[in-house]
Amino acid sequence: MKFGSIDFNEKKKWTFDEIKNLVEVRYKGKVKASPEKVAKALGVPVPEKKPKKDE
Amino acid sequence: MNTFKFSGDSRSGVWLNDIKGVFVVNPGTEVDDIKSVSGWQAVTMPATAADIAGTYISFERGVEIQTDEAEMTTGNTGYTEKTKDFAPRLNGYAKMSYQDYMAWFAADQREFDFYFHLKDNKIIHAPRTTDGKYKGFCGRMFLNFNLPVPGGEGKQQAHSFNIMLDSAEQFKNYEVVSPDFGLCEINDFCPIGFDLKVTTEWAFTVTPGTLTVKATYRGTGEPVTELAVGDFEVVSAESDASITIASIDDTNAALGSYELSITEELTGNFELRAVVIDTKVTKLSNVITVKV
Repeated sequence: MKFGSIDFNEKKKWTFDEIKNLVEVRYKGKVKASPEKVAKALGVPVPEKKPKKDE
Repeated sequence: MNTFKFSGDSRSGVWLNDIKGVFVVNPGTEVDDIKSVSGWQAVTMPATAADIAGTYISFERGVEIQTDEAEMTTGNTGYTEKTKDFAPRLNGYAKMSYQDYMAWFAADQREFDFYFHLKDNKIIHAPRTTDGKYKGFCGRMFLNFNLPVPGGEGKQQAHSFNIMLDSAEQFKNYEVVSPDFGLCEINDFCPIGFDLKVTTEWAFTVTPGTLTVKATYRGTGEPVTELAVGDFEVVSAESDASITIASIDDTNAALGSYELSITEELTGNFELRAVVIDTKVTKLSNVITVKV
């Protein structure tokens, strides 16, 4: 599945961290979509964001 | 069964025409239909790369028949008779590029089944199975490994395929068939070949590891620009863990250059090829070894 110039393999068993690393570090600026959007398209569950604790 | 009966005279001395090429298929493959383009494409250009079971080699550059003469033995009583038949052998000089020939190197000494295609478009094949499927003659194939020949006949014979059939018995019952397709439609059976080459070696200092490959058409060197991540296939690996190409960066696809990523750390070399499928396999690369 293609985002920008990066074609992600739909057959691979992705983890969200792998997707996040590729989108934000390795292929920064090339994917043109958020890690969450890519993960959702590949059928990978997105971990919930921990809410900030109010002191 | 070979019961002899007198069978009449055709009043004609026509020979079988010269060999033009050979269909090479995996040993034991039964082909449903060798008379139609679609019948051969089911073997040479199927819908999935895993089902590719054969291809066609053109021997336009020449064929030398090298079958040994039958063994005639004269006993010490003076009685002469045939004591052995030898299976057919030939050397076919393929009309293909050196890159095509290199892609055949791994086939050296391997066994295949062979169908011989003649210059008047007939096909010679082994006896059909009981349910009417076609079979080739079983045999072996040998290639040569040599430096470029400077010129002359030796140059035309550079891409040689030495084919030795296994059984004279199988050949004694050969069948001849006229296909429905024309002589010039043979090109429709073969996927277009392109070369993959590693241009930047595998590196894994941080995840993912990457390697860059270049894909160019054999013969012209033009880039293959439309490869997708699903077109790359890991053919074999030294390690036991499966290897998946995670993603490709095709920023430089216009030059045929693709950066492949693999998220796992690898422990052994693997072999890679690329296949382009458009309802059927249309383009095939060579198999390259990626050193890890």
